[in-house]
Amino acid sequence: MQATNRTPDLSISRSRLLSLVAQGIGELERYSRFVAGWDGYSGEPISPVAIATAENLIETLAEMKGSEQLIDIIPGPAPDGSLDVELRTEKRRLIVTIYPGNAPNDVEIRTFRTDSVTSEEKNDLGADALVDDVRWLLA
Amino acid sequence: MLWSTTFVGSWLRRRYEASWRLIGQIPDSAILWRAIRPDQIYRDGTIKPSFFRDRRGNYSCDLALFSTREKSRRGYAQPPAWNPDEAGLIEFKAGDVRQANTDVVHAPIRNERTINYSHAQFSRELSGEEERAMAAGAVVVIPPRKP
Repeated sequence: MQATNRTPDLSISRSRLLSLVAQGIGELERYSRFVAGWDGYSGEPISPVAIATAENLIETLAEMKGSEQLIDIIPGPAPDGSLDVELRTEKRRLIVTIYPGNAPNDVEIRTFRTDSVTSEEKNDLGADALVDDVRWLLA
Repeated sequence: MLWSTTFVGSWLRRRYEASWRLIGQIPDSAILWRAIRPDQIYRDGTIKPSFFRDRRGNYSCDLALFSTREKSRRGYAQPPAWNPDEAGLIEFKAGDVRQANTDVVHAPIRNERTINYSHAQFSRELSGEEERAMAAGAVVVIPPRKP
């Protein structure tokens, strides 16, 4: 039997996290098949760059310190071709909204974070500010 | 009278629709419907805020008194660009839209794929806070079905 330095609890948390990641990415893959009018009206196909960014965010998140605290990863599609990735821990909630950017292969990021005390919304975030929000979620 | 649920109201609505007449003012009490997919709802049955997002402005919905639950749930486009068998239906009021600091106006659609006299649209996009407020206040009248 191979030796491991992980406790059983950590292994369970890790496998639960990987399951959340797989579910989140699976849902994003469904969005990539949406065609114009997917919402019954004039819904835009979900932006491929927004989907790729969301997948990257989820995969990166899974490797971050404290990521075992995540209890849910919930993508959400919008009629304008943008999408949300909602991340939840027991105490905190972060919604990352990803719009296709003005330039090809660029995105625009908005976040909304909330816990029992505060709520804060930020627009047009850079990568550093997004990482700060994710660290806040996992702190 | 146009918004009355009496015989005269329904008669007037038929006349309006037959002449494709644009409705000037939608009262706060008017019920609005919009179809919803399974992907747009949380596991607990509440609505994701992204359901109410449309940066293009012109967020679509239907005036309930000029539609039917089944038509609005399945969508008016022919052929549909989705699986309408999975669709559910969300309900909110014109007054809710105005409380979110926008307006809703009648905007009937008649093109090669869609004929929808009941179609209405928001006057501008909602902010994140307004999306969340609309999602929290709207009612799921027919839950979508998981495929």
